[in-house]
Amino acid sequence: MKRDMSLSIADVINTFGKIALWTSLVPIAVGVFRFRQLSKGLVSIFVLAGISLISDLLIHQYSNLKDVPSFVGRIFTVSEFALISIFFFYEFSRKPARRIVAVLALIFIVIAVIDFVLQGVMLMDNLSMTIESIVFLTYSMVLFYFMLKDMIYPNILQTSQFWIIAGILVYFGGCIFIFICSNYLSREMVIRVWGIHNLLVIAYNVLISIGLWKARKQYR
Amino acid sequence: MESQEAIPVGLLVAIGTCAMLILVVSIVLFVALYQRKVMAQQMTIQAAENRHQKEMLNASLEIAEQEREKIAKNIHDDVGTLLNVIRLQMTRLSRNAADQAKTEELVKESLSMVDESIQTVRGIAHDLMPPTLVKLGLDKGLVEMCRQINASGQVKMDAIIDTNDRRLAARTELQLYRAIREIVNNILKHSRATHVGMAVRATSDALVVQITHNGIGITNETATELAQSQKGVGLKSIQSRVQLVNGTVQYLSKGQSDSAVIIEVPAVW
Repeated sequence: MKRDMSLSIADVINTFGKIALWTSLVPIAVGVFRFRQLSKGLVSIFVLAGISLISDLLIHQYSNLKDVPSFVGRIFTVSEFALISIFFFYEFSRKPARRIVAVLALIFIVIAVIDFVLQGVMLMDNLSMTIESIVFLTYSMVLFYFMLKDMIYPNILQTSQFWIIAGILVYFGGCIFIFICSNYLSREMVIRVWGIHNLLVIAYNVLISIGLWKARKQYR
Repeated sequence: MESQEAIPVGLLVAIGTCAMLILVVSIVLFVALYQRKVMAQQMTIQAAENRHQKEMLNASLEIAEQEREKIAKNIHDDVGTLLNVIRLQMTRLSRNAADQAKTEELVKESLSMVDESIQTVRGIAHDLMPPTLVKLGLDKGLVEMCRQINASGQVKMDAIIDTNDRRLAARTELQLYRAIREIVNNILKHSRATHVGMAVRATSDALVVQITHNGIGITNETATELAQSQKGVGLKSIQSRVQLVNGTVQYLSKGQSDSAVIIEVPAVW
């Protein structure tokens, strides 16, 4: 009975994994459709969706090789940080904020390398991912604060920025505990917890797809 | 051992993830709802401001129309009548050209009427643009206004002017003068005052005009109510003129014999 149950959970997690993988196609499709309306920041989110799909496919394809998924994951984390930083760089209108984004992006590359050296290729880059989550959660909160303070949008729900930031908040906010603890969990537990991650990926893809779709209505 | 350690960490991840999700979803919802609420408030304020501006514009147009009517009436009733009489005198003069004595008498009468017409035209022009104000500034213009009111004998009016000969922009002075004139007219018409006092002083960053009287006054609330009604064209005009020069106007009334109107206009000397 217990075995059936665990199989059932594994199936569900596996299904969510597949759905999460293929939902990356939604923001890509929307991005292609609305490409002319995309700002520079949104183009970086669109490119990230493409890279996310490629890296997920690579990880899925070479999951039997121990080194490859972790290595691809590490490359993806750095790319993800750089591309989301580009989004925030263009969304922050104040120069000091832009400078901070640029400097932190460079610092992050150094941290990612240190993380790689310290932990090796076998372990997940949980230090980099945790720092990444904290940085993006902070950026998102600050950007929301500026959006509310400046009140430049008549209806915030009609802006790309709102949906993209909502996606970033939901994904990185939801995953931060997974990133922190992933190296301390048993393999069975990691697989289960990764199911939650897959759910959050689906939510993220849906939200950024809405964001890319709204790119046709820019009030700025 | 490994399993025993993994379960609490797994639980921690589950609880932490749920808590973070609740937090971020709450933040997203808060941002969306707060933005909508603030935007709705801003739109309400904007609509009220637009309505107010429209009312002020209507009041200005109505006042301009009244001024035109007054000028037209003065020209028609006074100047027009006098010119008609002069025309008749000229006709009589042409008929009686042979009679020396009659001619002299008619010329004398006509000259007197021409003088009267000149005086009337000067009065109209004075009403339109007080020459003292234009030439010598607000303080002298107000002193002249005070002199005219005292000369009418209707009330006694005192003026204490302490501006150290500082002058505002000509446009500001004109708007201020007209607003003060309207206030004084209102006091004369409605307050039953017997004494009016005017104090004008220049502070480091403003010009303050205080008009006091011993008649029935109004408060800010009454002024706002009256300005919103059909009757309050004069009050609207005062408000509109003072706003035009970025000033404020306050109406104070303590009982039936102690009232004041205070105008404050920002000034860079």
